Amino acid sequence: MEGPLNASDFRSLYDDHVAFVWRNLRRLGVAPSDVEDRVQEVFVVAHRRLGDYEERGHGPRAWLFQIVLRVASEWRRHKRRHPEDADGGVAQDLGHTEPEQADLLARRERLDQLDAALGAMDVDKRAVLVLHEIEEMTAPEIAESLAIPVNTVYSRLRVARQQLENNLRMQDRKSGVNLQRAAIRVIVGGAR
Amino acid sequence: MSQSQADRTRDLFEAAKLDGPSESARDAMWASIQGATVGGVGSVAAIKATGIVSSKLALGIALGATLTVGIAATVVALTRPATMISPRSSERITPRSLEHVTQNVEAPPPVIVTGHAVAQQPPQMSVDLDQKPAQAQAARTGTATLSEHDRLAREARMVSEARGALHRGEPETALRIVRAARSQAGARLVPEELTVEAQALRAMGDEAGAQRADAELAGKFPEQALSH
Repeated sequence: MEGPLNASDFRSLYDDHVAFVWRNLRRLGVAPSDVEDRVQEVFVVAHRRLGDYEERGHGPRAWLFQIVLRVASEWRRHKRRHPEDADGGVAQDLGHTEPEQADLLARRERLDQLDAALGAMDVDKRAVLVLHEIEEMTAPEIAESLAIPVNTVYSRLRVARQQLENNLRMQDRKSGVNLQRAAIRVIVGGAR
Repeated sequence: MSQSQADRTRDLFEAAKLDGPSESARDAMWASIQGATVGGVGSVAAIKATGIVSSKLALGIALGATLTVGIAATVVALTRPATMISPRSSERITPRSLEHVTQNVEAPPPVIVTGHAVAQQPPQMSVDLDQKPAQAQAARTGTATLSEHDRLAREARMVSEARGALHRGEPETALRIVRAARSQAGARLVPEELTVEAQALRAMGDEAGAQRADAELAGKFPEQALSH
């Protein structure tokens, strides 16, 4: 897609990037129960701002990601002010989950682990990590998306990787402790 | 990072790369986006492009689409209280963006059929673009009294989009959208949805499926004009 976007390009923009927008809203912390609405919001804003888009050699992903960042940030702010779901909407989301097969459940479990680890990270570093590792963007592309210098991209990426590793280790330790506790309860219960 | 830790992290990233909305979620979101953006991107342009406006099928579908959206828009416009209009939340990109807190979503222009202008200007629907997602969430949680109207408006848009897909020669898309619309709790436009479903199945060569949809329509809604 080259040059300024127009309305006739909008459908193909949606088709090509809806998964990108969805994924990144999720990785930036938007709850599954809200993600459809926020995807719509991103594309409605994008539609209104089609005239502002300028192709700089990276396609529309950088531009869309800027909208995604704002929408996700606004969503987090809203959730902090109105924490109506104590579980972050998980219970509500389960109600909307269609029957899934084992591999899909396993994938969801991995995504939950990743999101929990990412969630403990500040958004600036999380965005760099997600764009690099999941969206496979180059450093200059990330720099454009986030309006930061390329060197900052590299430094944030290095720190973000380290933090992710630490967060995943902490998850493992917690789940290990929980397993031990569960095992002890079973053993003590059996002895009685 | 140890090898096993590196493998695990890679595994998590690979899982994330595959994350995305289902086909039906894509279609439903597109229908809502199309309804919230000016002009309804696809259907009218597609009608002109495909040049099938002279057929009776096109006339029937266009009339149905306009009536459906018109009725839904009228219901929404008549019953929506001003208190539901909320300030724009996420749009803080430039001050210019604040100029358009609401946009008028105009229905398609009159469709010209075999030289006769068919007067079909449904009422204009004023939609607050940032309000809809919050209302959709409220509809799920059942916390808003207006959720019924929003659901109806959304359902009408989906039917309209399905008809547009039918016009564009995409019966599979039409079928997916219309089935997604019908599967929503409290679907109110089931006769219209069954009609589109039958048309889509027929276009796909599934005459038996189309007849089942026709029979379901006639059985459930014998008084409906669409079932005759």
